[in-house]
Amino acid sequence: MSHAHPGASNRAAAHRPRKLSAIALFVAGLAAASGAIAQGFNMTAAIGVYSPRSSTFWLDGNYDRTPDMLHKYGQLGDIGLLADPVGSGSRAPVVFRNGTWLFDLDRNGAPDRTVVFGAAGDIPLVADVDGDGKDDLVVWRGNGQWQVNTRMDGTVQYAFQFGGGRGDVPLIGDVNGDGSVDLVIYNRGSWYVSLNRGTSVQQTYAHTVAAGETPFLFDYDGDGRDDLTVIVAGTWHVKSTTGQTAAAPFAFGGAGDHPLYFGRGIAPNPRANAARLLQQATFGPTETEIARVQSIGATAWVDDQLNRPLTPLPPMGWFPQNRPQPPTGTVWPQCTYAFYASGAAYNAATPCNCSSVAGTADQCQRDVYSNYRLQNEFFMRAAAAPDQLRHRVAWALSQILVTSSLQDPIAYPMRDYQQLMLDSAFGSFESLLTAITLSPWMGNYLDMVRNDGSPAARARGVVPNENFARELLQLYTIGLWELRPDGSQLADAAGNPIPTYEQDDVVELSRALTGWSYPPLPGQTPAFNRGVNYIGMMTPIEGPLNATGTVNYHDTGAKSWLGWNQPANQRAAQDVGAALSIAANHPNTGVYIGKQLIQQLVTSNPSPQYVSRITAVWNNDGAGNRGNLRAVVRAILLDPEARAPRNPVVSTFGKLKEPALYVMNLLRAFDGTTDGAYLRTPLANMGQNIYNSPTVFNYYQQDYVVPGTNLAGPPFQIFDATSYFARTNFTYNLIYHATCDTGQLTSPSICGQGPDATVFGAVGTKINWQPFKPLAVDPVQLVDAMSMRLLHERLPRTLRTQAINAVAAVALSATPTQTQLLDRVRMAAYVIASSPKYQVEY
Amino acid sequence: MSGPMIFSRRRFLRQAGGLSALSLAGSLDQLGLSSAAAQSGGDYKALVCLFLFGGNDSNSMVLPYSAYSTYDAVRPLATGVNIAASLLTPIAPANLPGQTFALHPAFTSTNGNPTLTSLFQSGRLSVVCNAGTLVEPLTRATYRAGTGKRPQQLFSHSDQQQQFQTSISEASVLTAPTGWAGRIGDELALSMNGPLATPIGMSFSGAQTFLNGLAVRGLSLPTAGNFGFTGDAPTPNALQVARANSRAELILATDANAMISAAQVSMTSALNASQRINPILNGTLPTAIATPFNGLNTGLANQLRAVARLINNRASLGQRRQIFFVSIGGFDTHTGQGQFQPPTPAIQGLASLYQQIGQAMSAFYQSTVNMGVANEVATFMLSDFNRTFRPNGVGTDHAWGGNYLVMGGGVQGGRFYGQYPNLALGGPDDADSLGRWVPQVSIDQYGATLARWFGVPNADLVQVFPNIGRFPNSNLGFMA
Repeated sequence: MSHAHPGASNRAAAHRPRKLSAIALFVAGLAAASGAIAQGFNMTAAIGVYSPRSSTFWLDGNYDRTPDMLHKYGQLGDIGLLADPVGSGSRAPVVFRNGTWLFDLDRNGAPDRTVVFGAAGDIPLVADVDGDGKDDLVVWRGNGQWQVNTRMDGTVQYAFQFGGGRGDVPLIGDVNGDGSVDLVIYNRGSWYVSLNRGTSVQQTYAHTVAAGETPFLFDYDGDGRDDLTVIVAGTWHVKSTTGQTAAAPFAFGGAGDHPLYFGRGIAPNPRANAARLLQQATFGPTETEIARVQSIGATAWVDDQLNRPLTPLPPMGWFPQNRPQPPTGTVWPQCTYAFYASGAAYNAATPCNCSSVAGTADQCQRDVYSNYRLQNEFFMRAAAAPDQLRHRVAWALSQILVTSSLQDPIAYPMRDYQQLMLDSAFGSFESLLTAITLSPWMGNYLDMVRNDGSPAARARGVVPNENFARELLQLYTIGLWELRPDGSQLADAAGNPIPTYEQDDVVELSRALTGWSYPPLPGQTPAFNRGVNYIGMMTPIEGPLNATGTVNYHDTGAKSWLGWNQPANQRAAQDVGAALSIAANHPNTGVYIGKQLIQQLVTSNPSPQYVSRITAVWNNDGAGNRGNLRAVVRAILLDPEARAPRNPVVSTFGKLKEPALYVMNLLRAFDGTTDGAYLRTPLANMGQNIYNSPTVFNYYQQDYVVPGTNLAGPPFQIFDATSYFARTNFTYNLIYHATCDTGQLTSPSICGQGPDATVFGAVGTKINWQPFKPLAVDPVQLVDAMSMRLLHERLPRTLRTQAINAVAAVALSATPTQTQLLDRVRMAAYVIASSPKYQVEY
Repeated sequence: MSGPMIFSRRRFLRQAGGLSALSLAGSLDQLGLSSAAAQSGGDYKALVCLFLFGGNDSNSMVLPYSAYSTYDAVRPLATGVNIAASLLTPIAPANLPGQTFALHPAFTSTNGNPTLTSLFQSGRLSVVCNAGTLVEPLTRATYRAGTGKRPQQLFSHSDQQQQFQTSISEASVLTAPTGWAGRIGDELALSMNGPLATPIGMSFSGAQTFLNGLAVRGLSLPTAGNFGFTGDAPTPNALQVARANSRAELILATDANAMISAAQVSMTSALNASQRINPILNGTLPTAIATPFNGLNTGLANQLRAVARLINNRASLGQRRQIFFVSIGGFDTHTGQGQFQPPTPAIQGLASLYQQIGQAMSAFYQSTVNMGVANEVATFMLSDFNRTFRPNGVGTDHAWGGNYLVMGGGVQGGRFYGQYPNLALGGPDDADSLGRWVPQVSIDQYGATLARWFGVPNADLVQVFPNIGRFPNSNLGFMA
């Protein structure tokens, strides 16, 4: 074959391109190829196809050669491509339509940028020709003329002349791996390469399969060199340029589809995979745990966590509802921290004055009659408890089975309730339901306590309170709508969702739950009007059956709800047991609660298949048990969807970090320590006042949809502008408004908020910057290390450059001072920690 | 791996908010205020939604005076929720000759004056009676027979709050619901405020569906404090500029992950809003607002004071139309509702909440008078639902149709719109026997009356209230 190369020198013309013999001809795609897979020639590329007849992009982001995402964009006749013209780090869809490029950078299916470059009949290509980290537009004009527009304005910045003969197909890529794109012409099995875009051919390869082929260039194995690909009827035949290596042919797309490539540098990231597990199963990844997960694997790590001993909350003893204070004229000793921290119940025989003493660490009023101490405990455990998974699951359960200290600020009952969450995190859900139903704390919260079902009340026209019954159904078990095991709503003939219960069901259930009161204090007999006491379980006040003279506060009539009958004359406890059994065994419960656990731990938008798998484990843990939380949690974390590598192409996986996770992730990432005191107010400002949920519907509703999308995103409900500033400003204050340990005057590295003198045993909240200070002399190293620490990946190119500029703006003296180095570290940490990427677990 | 999934994002916000990295030196002028009309005084209107969270017992808020016996028959002193007749000041709706009613006596201003009663009598406040969520018109008969469609999940707080905010009471699958104020914004924001104005809907009670449309999204604001980044400065040094630029670049970068993109959209909006609103919320409080609100420090008062500030600065925000959302909670009075009895009524329970509302609403009205926009601002109440007229022994439970107050210079005041419910248990207005009124006015009609006054053309009302055609009229008539 001869090719005319107008403008080429005579010397070049003398080297007429022909099939080289120096490189062994290797015809991939023949059956023999299957035996010729070289070790390590594994696909690390994210690919796709554009189907012009249906104007659909089919994209595979995680190297498994099945499409994960389809995106409709364009119209008949368009040529679909992928491009990253703004350097965001990820290629987005673009179509070439008779010379006009229409970009869909925000991936919403409608064009958002348009550039006129080229004409009908040109072949469009995308590559970063000038190496600035942003893709450029290339058109091949059919006569060997290549034109490049780097400025996205339709003007020509570069023009090349290469090829142009009959049957030439232009391609562009980096064939020799030198970081600069090359021009390639494919013609009937031969590949002619102009390295670095000259007019002459520097290399030639041979690779073809059959007629009707589409040639393509992309870096299959991530070695930095684009590989030769020929696609025939949807089967891809890939061969490297370095020799014998080839991949087994695989199918992706169909005849007539345009192949797509998401670009170099998208490679599996084991560190990120490990970090993701820790985001799901702890309060934030640490370097130690990341290494551990990579060493022993996810399954062993999860099983170890499931078997760890429980770190119980410190006991908080009973105190009377009214703060004990001496009568006027009498003086009692102060209740000491040692006393109320011991968990001993308050004893009126040896009274003490529970007030807060200014200027000392004894703050009885605050520590006993508000949940201050408990909030601090939350943060301390989130930062350092060894049984992280249990604490994480307990926190998730407390956001489903919600109670709130806003109802009653006294601390001990909320402590006992949260201890119940910890105790039950890996236990039976029905047991947990029973415990909360009979909890006097929950009884006070949702009016189950002193719910009067007696005949006298009925005669007075008083009807049982519906509050707990309603929330038991709506929030704690079956939810509002009939669901399939995959989480989708069932629909009636008219296409409407089907409610799980009616008002009448609530009324009947509330009758079944009547008759309970606060447990009596030591020395008291049970009575319906016993004063508030949150220790232990509620007491039924019902007397012997049919006894005269004893008021039975439990409604002993028959109840019928959701098609189940609870016969008359059951004891209060029997009715509770029967009711909870009905609710817990309803087919909705596993999917309703199971899906919420997925959303709390892993992703706001699990696939229906993921939900189905978890529902199946809820319904039967393999040993015939229903609602085995240990099995369910294990299945959630080890599910392939949770463990799949990050999809860098396009993804709806993941979730916005709720404020508690945002804060604790940040602290743990830097081996931070805390006594909790500093953190409670910023968390409240971010919309998550720990243990003070505003309503029984938690801080955010579990079915909240991100406005403008059809995606669930519960934490987005409290991610408004105010909360966003609260997060970023918390980060600023933690990093900048910090004092550094004076023990390190020459090398301040452990910095943060100092201890509050009124908090017993306070240590403040501190971060350790030491690992980063030595890197600070080189902004590039520092930014890369910081983004690896926080995001487990490098920043995309243009963002990385900006961050490096910001760090470099912190001037260093000829001999940099420790403060200067620290200020550079702070800059890197602040800009990355306040980025959208860091707000999300993905 | 899961099947293919599709997601989409709002285009309008990217168009309107698609400003490149804003340097700290960017001033309000540089943000390109829209038409001159925004700066002139002409054709301005504001809606202020006051949401009473928990389900307000509006049987206690508006009660019969001349027919007090019908009230007392079901809520005598023994029930623990009675409001004594001797403490009531009668009001005479101009359209109900011969009948008198009363607002709850706790609705006083800070100096103890029954300001809301006075506003009713001077024609600045009206009552919308027995309004609530409806799919279609219902009567007691059609409700009980099941021949009429009823709203989904009646008596559920979260659902009824949502239905009041969206006006859609039928079941819907998981799509992002829009609020009717957001849909008003979709209709009017661009033409009235221009593409660069601050979002038309502003909430001082966190994110609310009410203010989200297809194109517009509500802005959540604090009532006080820095609404911006700590560490920035009005005249930044080189370090602050570099930090802000890097931060802004990271915020504005789109991402392949939908959750990251959603966060990025929120953050961009916050960035834009902060530049404009921070100086307004933290500037010197003008006397016109400070005086009426003097001494008030409740959550609701603080919210309405902040609303007044934003009304005062509407020109600099580029807004000829504003929609605000404020709220007060605590109305779920299953227990602890309290009563109101002489000689010295205890201000607790419901009475305490009404006192807060009375003080804040009075102060707010006066501030609009001082600012010269009393006729242009309409404040209207919503709530999850009314409560059972028959008490449960210590309080009341969830019910349905209720009474709501509308206040403003543009209100056709001194009247009762809709029909005050017949208070007979099991009577013609009762859904059951506990006094759960079947609403005779839908939220669609209530909202459409406001939307029409606000400037939504007649022909477009159905875009804002898709089901308005099911109801007998789209204009209750309480706005001038």
